[in-house]
Amino acid sequence: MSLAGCSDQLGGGGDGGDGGDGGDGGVDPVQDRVTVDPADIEEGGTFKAAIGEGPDTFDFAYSSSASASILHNLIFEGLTKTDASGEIYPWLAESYEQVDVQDITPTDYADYMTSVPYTETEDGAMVIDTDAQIVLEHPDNDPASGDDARVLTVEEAGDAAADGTYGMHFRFDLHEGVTFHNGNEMTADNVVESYERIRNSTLSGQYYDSMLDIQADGDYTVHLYVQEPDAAAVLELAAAPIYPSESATLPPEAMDPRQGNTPMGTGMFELDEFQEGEYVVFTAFDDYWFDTEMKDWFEGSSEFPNGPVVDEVDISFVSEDASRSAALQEGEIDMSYGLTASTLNDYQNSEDFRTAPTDGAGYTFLQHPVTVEPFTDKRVRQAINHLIPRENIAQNIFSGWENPAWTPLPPVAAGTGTDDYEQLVEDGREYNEYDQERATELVEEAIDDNGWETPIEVQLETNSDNDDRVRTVELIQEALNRSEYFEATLETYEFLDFIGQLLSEEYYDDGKFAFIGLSGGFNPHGYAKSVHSQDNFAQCCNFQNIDDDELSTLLRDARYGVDVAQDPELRQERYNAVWERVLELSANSYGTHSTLVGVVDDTVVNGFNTYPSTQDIIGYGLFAPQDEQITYLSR
Amino acid sequence: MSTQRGRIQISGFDTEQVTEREPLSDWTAGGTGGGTEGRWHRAWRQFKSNRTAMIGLSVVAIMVVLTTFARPVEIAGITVQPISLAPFEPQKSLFLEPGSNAGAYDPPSLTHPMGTDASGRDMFSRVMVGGRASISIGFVVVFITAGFGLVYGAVAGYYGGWVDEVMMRIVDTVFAFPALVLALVIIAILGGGYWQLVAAFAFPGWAGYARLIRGEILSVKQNQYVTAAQALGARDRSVIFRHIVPNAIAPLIVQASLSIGTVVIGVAALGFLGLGFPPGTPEWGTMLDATRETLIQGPGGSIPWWATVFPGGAIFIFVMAMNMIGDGVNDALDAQSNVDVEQGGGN
Repeated sequence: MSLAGCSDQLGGGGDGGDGGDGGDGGVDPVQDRVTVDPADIEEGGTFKAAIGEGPDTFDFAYSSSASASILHNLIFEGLTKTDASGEIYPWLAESYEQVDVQDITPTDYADYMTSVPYTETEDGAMVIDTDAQIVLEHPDNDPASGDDARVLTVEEAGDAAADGTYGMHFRFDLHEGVTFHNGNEMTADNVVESYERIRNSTLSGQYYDSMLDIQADGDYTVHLYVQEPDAAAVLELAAAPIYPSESATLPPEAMDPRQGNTPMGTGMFELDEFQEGEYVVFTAFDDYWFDTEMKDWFEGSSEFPNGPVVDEVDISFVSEDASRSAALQEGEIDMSYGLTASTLNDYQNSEDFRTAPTDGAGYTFLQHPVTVEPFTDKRVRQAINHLIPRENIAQNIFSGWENPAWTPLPPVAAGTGTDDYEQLVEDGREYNEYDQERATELVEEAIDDNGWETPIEVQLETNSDNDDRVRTVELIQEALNRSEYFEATLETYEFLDFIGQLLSEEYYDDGKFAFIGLSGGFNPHGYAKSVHSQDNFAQCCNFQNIDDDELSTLLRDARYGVDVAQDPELRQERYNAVWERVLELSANSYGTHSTLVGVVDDTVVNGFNTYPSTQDIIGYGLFAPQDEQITYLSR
Repeated sequence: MSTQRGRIQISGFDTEQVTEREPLSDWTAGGTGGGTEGRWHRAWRQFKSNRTAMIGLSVVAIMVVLTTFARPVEIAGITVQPISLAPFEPQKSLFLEPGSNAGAYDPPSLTHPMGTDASGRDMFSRVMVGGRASISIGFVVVFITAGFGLVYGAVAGYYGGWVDEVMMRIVDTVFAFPALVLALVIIAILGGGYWQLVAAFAFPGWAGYARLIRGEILSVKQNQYVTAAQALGARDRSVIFRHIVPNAIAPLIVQASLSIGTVVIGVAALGFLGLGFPPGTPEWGTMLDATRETLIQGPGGSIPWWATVFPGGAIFIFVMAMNMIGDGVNDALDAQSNVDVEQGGGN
């Protein structure tokens, strides 16, 4: 999960777009998908695109920027890949299988755990004093007790897995003859080394909340062990990039041209030139391994290319969306995204350009200060929720490009997140409708019971660099001010300043309402967990110290456990209960579901479709045989 | 004799003798037709005859009246001004009006003479109300800065010596900062809002007046009437404010009238940078900021010119009118000031 600004996003890098969910596959989120007849494809040319910001680092494990992932996904590949609907396909792995699932809980690892003392940091927090990556902690650990912590680190995890103590076991068989950009062949050892790079990195939390251990078995087999039965294990764990040894063993954050190291993987493009703050150039990898004949799942024409057909990709970094739009019209670039809704209408009406909209993996949300009176009362929060004019926001501000978020679950994650999405939307609509009368009733009840004074002050906050978003919050402010019970004000901040405030541990005490975007993936879990769970407090995205035991239990039951790991339908049903509780709790109000719109020069670019997450918007467009997606240029 | 010792008695100056004596000539008071014309009267007469200045004055007066009566004014819950000339509430988004078909950037029409903005709000009402913040900040800032600068400069100039030295070095320190940058820093520290903006422009703004008035006072205080007042034992305060300042104030008035426009531009500049007021506030600069992105449209898209031209035009007309007034005042008072007073904002 990551926080979304406008076109730029801050966040977990690679956790969203690279996932998938396996099994049933969802509905294609790409609207009006264009297809290409392989016979028409013209080879060669340079694909030129502009994105909102440059990469924080090319070192995947240390990156927290969604736009850096766009570049990572051109160079690196993982064991699996997903299509636009979230279905998982074996990629560097020829195939994978779930070998075993066992009813294991964290306490079952007690015998393998070691005792480690706590130490106090400068700001007074108690942390476990070890340099080794912690895989899991004993549930009974208590820093206040004065006892040492009991933890399972990566040192002991291998023993537990070898002894048969694990929740799940997956076996991945790798393709033979896959070469890295440095010419070496990929083996199972490279996979293990690459996963080891995640240890103690920026992304370690996202992997070690589920992963137990990974082991090589010969040159072409890898065993992945999971801590507990986890229905989203493959989605969350199997897509991490695989590097050659010389890259995998670099010091932390060193896999970056600014550190003198060229990032290398097995991907379809090699990094050629990088100018910080300006542009990056990739060239097609001559020895790219992929062949449609190697993949059982490929059902397209035998003429379909075995890799991208463009020779070069030039990506420039342009922060102003109006400047990107101007560059597109001047013919300086072939593709961009993240343009304002009013501009998109012009592109849609133009014969020279094509808009490629896709239901995005994310939503905007307003988080209520649930610990500050009078917002502690659910009825006040629900009243505010009824005063959010979602349909006006979608129609008037986004010109219909985005859709009202009647439910927190975006359609891209609907495949595993519910058994009946239409019903879920229908139920949510009633609950989230713009209804001044209902809002008045709710707030009057709450005021009568508690004797609070009106008007209730509501301080709204959002990031200033996204015009459509500011207008959205202005409209919410206006709608609240139309009620005699509320008096709303609006403050805006630069994106990174705002994020800085939200991620502080004091924010929840200020009684302010934060409006921001969330960028997720195909896993429904994060859309509820990241904005409610105590695990996400002062991180993305529980800023208001929301804590609800019932929801936490429902969430756990929907993802972890032998039953849900083996029964997708049961999992869908369990998530229904999650969404019901989310609405009931009303700790967040959801604005619109995002729509990602790639805009291309139609006279040059053929076949481009937009991926639901920005994180693979270019790589997916250029070559994604799982959706028979390919882009070629006619210049 | 002894009781009268040490006392001097002067005779021959009995006032009664003078007032009650026979007139020496036929001269009577009023013979010249009402005495000499006062300086301020003469200035006003000259100003009135200056057509450009009077146009400026009328424009400013009309704008002030329009903005004051655009929407009712409430102070502490009591309506002190009930008239409402603007057809819509400036904050009101017509999107939320039942049955309204107003859209984003609707072009000017009979209902919306200046069109609508991106949030479906009536531009005409917003431009009218938008003057409140800009214009009033202009006047308030100039009143505060000119007032403080006057006292400060007068004290420094009158006392001279080390007092002058210390006070003028402080002025130099304020001058060392570019005014707009200093205003940006102050807004960054204090946050946006009306009084914060006043502070942001007042803090760097007074120094120019202080320097100007000090220079005037250095020359005025050499005059004999000042020495006479001092010799008669007048206190410093009354010497400064009754004898020196009234004779040194003309350049300050000229400068103040020119500065109002500069402050209004400065407020608009901060608003355009997204500082000063929360987004959506009807204030000319903030309105321009919100429509900045419309200048680059998609292919075939037309720029909604009304979104930028009207608030921008309002700023232009007001500042132009203020400058015309300033020039008129300058001519009327014959101040001929060569001192360039630095003022916060659009320098």
